[in-house]
Amino acid sequence: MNWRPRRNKTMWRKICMSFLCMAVVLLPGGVLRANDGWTDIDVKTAYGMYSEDRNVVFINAMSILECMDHRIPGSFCIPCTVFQEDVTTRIRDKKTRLVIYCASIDCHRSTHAAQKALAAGYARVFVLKGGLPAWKKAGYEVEAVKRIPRAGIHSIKPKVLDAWMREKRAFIIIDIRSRDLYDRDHLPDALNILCDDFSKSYDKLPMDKTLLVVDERGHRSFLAASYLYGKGFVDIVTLFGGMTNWQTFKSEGKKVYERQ
Amino acid sequence: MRDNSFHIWSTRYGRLINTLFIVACLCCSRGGWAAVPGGYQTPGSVPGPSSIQCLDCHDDYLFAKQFPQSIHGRNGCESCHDGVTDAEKHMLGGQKPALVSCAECHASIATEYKDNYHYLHQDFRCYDCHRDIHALQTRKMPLKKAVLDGCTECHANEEYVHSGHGLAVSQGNQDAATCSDCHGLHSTKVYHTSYEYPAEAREFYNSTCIRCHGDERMMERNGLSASVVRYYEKTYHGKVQGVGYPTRVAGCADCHTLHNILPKDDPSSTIHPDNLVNNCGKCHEGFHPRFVLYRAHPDYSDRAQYASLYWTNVFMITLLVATFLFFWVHAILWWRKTYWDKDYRERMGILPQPLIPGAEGIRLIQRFSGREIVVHILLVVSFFTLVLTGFPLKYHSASWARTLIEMWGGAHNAGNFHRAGAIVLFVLFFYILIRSLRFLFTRNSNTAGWKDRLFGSESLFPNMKDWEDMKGMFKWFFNRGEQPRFDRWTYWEKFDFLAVFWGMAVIGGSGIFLMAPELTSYLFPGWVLNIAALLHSEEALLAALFIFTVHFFNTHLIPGKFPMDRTIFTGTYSLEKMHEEKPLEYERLVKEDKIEGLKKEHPNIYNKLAAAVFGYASLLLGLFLAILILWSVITLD
Repeated sequence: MNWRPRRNKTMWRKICMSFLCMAVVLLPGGVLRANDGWTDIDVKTAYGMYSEDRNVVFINAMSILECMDHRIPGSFCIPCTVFQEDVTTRIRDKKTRLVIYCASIDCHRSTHAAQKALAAGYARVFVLKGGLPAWKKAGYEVEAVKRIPRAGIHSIKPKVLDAWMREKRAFIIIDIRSRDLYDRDHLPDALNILCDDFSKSYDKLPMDKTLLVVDERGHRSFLAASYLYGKGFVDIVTLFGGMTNWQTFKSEGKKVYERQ
Repeated sequence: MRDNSFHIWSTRYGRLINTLFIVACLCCSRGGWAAVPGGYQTPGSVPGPSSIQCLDCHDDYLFAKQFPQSIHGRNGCESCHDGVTDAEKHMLGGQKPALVSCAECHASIATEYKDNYHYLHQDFRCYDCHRDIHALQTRKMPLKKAVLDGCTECHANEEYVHSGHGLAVSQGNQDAATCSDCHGLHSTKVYHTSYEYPAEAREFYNSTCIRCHGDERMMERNGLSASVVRYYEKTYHGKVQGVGYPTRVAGCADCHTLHNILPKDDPSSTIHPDNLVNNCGKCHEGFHPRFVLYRAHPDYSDRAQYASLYWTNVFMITLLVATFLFFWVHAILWWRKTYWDKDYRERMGILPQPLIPGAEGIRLIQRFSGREIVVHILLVVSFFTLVLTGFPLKYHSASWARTLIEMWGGAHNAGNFHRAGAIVLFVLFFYILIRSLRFLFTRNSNTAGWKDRLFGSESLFPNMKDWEDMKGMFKWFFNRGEQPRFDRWTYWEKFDFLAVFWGMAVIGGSGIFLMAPELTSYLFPGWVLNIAALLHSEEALLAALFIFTVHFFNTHLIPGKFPMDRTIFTGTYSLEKMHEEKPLEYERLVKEDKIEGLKKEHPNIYNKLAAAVFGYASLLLGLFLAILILWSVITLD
């Protein structure tokens, strides 16, 4: 007696097909991950493209100032703010592979730039996961075209800044974050000067007052401050941990624990 | 004048010195210090201009005078500024030196530095900190102070400077922590703890604190106690940290802060009694101020300072030793007696005679009801859950602890399972309590009052007969008499049952306190939680080892029942067995004419299979855990 149920062939085919589709989607996930049109790549893959593929351009999406300070050798410096206009004039072949990266792990400039690259018609856009720090951590070299000499710049903690504000101490806050972040929340009377505009506007800053440079998370302000130091400003400090640290400080320590 | 005389001198001896320099410098530059002292020239490299030639143009005081006196002074310019092979081309601007790579000589530092925060995020190069590289001298001040001076160029940290560590370092103490002792020197971690405190950061910083504060010799010479680490590791905080899930419980820096580390008698210290409510309040909320009387580093052996903890510890150790001494000796003697008797019968050729002749002997009698079977199964499951989630914390430094806790998906999940297991156990406990009370206060035809029922033959409460039975058993162990005749419950079965009441009071009670430590503070001061933790932990050890050794032996592993007695899973055993093990009950039931009503059909095969799978799995798991626990007791306690 045949007691086995008959297999439904169409059903069987559907199951196989769905497994196949899942495999196609999931298998390359380890290295490549499609993300709204661009592809996230890890450092190893990026290095492979860097050393073998000729039709690839690495783009540093930070400010010119930061990009010239240190970058993946041979990279183009195309700041996120002027990306769409710049990229089309400098890279005419739309089939070129673009590998875009930032100077910190949690920076969004590379993804913003990737969106703009896609909008400009580039089909093969990649974003380097972990940015420049991941590249360096993997042991690959960087090049310095116009290095900003590092200065001994003091960083102050939010507690100190809070005390300064209460004391009504005279100092000028320079917020180097993007315009939209600045608009969302900024320190009272802070000037929003992007690194891209430093070369044009540093001469308008007073030399006799303390300058406090503030960024997103405390990674970038040091370089900006070192740049200003090189221009003759001596009394400069940075905010340790940037605005994120300040916001945490203001929302009272408790949240630090809740966030975990 | 200076340049002139140098020039004359250099032209006179130039050729010889040039040759010597080229050889010496190339040895150092390409081969690296690691490969020197013999030195070698890299095949294919072209000798470049000598340092003397470099100094012809680069004649700053720093290079011409200070550099030769510096610790790198014996190296040539080319050692670091590689890539110029032709001075002429270089002078014409055609040939530029390559980037300086200190890694060629300082390879291990370079490897460490690859993960350094300053390198990854600020692209700091060696010369950004070692700015006086051309005039670098042998360090004159102590390393700790030099590090402090270097870091504070940017990181002014008033809190550290005034802390115990900072003061000691500035006074020249060679043990106190300077910046690099916690943060690394060339391996400064990318833990931006100012706005987040990832689990790895807490684990990393705990390990750096413990590296020094757990070092007995270092603490002794600084007038501190190394035991605080050991004591901390015995608390809930320390145990959860120890098992590798450091996020949700206090690590060193959570209470002592990162930089403002001061002794507790300093009013600005976070652990000063006046600041403790705020300090504990960073994580705990809704507690009574006496909550802070909890001891974070209690010393159980300090009778003067922690009297209640000391005596609780002594009591628990005595209880553990006495219980196991009695029951393990009992089990060994029992095993010896039955095995020796069996051997004697085999030797003499005595065949066991059935007590009940014919097929009647294999008729099954109900011993446990369906509900009792379910209760036992739930008890087994909840007990294993509690043991498997609790013991990895108790023995957090054992290698198996982490594996077990990872199987639950981390300490947080394990904790939730532990609480769920405890709730199941509580429900079972109250169910049994209600049944016991109903048994006690429900009238039946045979017994008049509750006292009769309490000490009667169906009761699980000990009576004088149990005392006599116990003495009888010991006499029997030593061949001084017959084995006592038991009624429905033997004294060891009664102990198993009543021990749960004691265990529930101790483990359950302390567990409730520990489950809601903040609420407990409205009833008791914080140090009661220390006692609760100690009781909970030691009583758990007693319960687990008792079940996995004594209970397993008495009910399953004794010769005659080995390897497993399935009565508790099927609810029935044979009339023959009943006659043999509980003769008084058998006779009583025959006399009262109740035996017919208790006879049951044979359980079906699925029931038997399920009983075997669950029973053997529990036995094996229990014995395996007993080995792990005993091993940890011996090696860690």
